[in-house]
Amino acid sequence: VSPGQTTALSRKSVSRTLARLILAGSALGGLAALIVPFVRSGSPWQWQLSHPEALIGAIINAELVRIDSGGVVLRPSGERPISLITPPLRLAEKSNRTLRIRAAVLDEQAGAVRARMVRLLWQEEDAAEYRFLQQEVAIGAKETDIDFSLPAAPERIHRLGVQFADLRDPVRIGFLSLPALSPGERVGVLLREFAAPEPIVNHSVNFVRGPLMLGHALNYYLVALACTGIGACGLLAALRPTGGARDPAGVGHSAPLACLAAALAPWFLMDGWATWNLSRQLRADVAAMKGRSWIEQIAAMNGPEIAWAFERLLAAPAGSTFAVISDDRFAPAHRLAYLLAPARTRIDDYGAASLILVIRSGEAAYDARRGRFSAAGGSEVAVELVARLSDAVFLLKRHAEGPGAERSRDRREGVSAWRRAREDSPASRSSGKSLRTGDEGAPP
Amino acid sequence: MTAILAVSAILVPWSAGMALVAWFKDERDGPLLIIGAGWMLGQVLLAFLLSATFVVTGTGHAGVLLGLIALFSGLAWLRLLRRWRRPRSERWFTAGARPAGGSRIAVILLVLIAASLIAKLGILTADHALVPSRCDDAISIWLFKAKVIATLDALPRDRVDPYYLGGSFANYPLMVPLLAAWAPLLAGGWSEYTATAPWLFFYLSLILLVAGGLRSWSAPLPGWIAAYLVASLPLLVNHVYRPGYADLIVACLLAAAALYLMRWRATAHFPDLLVAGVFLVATTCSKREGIGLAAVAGCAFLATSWRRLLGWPPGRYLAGGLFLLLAVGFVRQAVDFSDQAAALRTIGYQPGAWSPLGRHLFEWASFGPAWWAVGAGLVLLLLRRPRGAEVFGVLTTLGWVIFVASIFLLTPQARFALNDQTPSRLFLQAAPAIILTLFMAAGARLQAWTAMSHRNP
Repeated sequence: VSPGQTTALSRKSVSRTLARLILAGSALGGLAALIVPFVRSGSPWQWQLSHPEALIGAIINAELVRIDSGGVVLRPSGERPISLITPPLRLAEKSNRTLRIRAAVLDEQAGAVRARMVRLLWQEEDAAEYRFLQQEVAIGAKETDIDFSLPAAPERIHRLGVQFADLRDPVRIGFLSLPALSPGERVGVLLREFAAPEPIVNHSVNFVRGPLMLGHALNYYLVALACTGIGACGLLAALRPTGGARDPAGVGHSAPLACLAAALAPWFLMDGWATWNLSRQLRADVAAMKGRSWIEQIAAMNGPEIAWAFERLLAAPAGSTFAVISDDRFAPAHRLAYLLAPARTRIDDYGAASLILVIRSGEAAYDARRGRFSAAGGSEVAVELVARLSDAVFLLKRHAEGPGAERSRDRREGVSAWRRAREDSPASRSSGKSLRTGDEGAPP
Repeated sequence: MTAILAVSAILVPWSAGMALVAWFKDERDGPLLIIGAGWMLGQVLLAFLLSATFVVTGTGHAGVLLGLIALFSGLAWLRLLRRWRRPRSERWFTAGARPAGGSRIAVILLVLIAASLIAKLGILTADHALVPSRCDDAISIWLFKAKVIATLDALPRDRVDPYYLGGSFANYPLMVPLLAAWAPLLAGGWSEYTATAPWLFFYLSLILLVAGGLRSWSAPLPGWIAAYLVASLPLLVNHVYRPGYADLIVACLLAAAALYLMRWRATAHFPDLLVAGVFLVATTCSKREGIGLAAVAGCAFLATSWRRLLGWPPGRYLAGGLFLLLAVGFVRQAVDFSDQAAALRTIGYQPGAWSPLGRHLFEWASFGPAWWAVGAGLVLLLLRRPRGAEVFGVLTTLGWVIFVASIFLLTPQARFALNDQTPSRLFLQAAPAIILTLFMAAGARLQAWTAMSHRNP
């Protein structure tokens, strides 16, 4: 054996050993990452809502009925959903990662358990907006524990909160806590979180969050699983003797395909979750649309107020223009603009529109006695009521007089005002489709 | 009659596209690639013809256009059938040894992939047939424009018209709204069901394009794995389930362009380059980011293929130059670049965007573990000192990722990263093309790798 051959052989031996070490490291590292969420110890935290002092610094969007040893009882205040938000927090870095909320619904039909949409609200800094995660939970009069994985590292969380999105009955909230769970309990929480559906809604074209399980996103488990699988398969193949009758190529028995299959297994898992989620969404969508008229479908998808407004605006003469005044600057205006275009045109300037639709606006000021309307400190226009769904939702017809009349003489002029408003003002392009409120600007 | 017209609106351009792809086909191309690429090419030609008709005549003349496309398609297929009856010419490719049979693992993988694809296509077809898309935000721009164009049978070009270029944001490219408007234009009335059908067919054609394209490149198994990886990206599937956004269509066109660029690198067959050019122009005309994505592909192509281009005969230079001239002229007329110019004027580092970008790529499930796999694939390719097609794969992947990331890291669009609105959606535009190019770049290696197991008893 020449010295060159010896060097080549020793290089080959070193690279083979190195490859085996990498594979072993991958398998062990992946396995450790998979185990950690089930055995990690953390410090507990609890916000016990048993006495009035507990509410100091808290934010309550609801009517406080009472607070006692059983918890705090809240009732919806007006149209707003019930929300309870903690005072500013300083959670330890090593806090537990599962938030448990104990709640019960105090409805008239005691004992009735129904699916409710419950949201976990959180902030990472003091701001007006909150981010949220949501899940449908079956809650009744009996106290129910609702578990959420913390969506951010504990030390980054500024406030936590809970919101009952569609609840009109009083609710009792016992506590919010980060309890220490046993490994068995964690397995249960993980399976529940994996099985929870992620509704495919408007913002789902922007991202898929995926299940958050024991404080880790799905990708954490998938990557760990892939590392474990590839490492284990590769290592097994590398340790088995190569060559001989069963392996004439000397590459190990089916090692490449086995590694490929191990790498694809987590992908199949992810795809299985996503396809299952999709099929559940299809069932829900078909159930919502089945046997319904066009107007009923619009109501099912966009809400009864938009369906009502659509029907009224559709009755207006072709070529009419309309303005939508609403606190939600995106959804009602854009939905109706689409549904009615091009026969009836939405414009931004209510002073130039022939019809003015008001849908829950804090800026709208309508004086029925004087027949005047203004919004957001703008000029007053003469109007008459055409139709009313409620005090917050009504349709007005603008009279061709008052400060807006001159502008409306020429429809084109009104339209160019609309166009200028759209092009000049970034705020006029507001879009409310992310998890945060107050998103502005034209999306790419 | 409406149903017949709606079906014709889908099938006739598809048939024309397939005829064109088949016209230039390679001996190793199977029906999958012809069907997949045929749909895309048909849609691109349809959009170009429709926009030209609107501009020249003021209305769509959808019926006449359908007749002309059908006539072209029929003649092309007749000619093709005659050509196919003749003895086969020699192969452009030197075909590598293909695995003859399948190992147990390969069969299991293929069965799982087939089951998953069939399940998804079933769900998505049911969705398109039963659920209208009236509640989605796509209606504020893309479907809004389509509805206006289809209802008016016109493309208003008067700037003071509220429906100038279809209304909504006038600077958004028109290709996607034109495609959505086509079937309703022909059927004579707006319908979400027919308007959004192209999204389902683009998805189907993307699967066929990737599987078929890689099939003529290497073994069938890597092709179907790549097709499965692309088709199962959760965000991509959501774009088919909630149709109306342009991102899926951009992703399909860019993937098709990348496939044909890589084919030309292997075959030096001039029509492949022309088809790639058509897809790149279409990418540019589909969305505001299209110009950047197409430019990255073009630059990577030039950087890796300029030596071959220098060896062209003069006639080919003339044809290539003419195509380039026409393409630039068309794009200048068809696309409003004011937003892109404004973005370039306001360039500034936005460090806050890093965190959401990481979240969208690596933490959330929009792409599953795809970006982890892309990162690992890039590292492996770089460690192997890439050559030829591998360099193209690495350059395009890095270029597309850097381009999309820089939209958020260097422009005021960072606010859409901070509110988590668009990073995943923009990365989606490049994801299928990246998966495809990386698979093609590693094609020879993959073929050898899977063949190893096939050789085993």
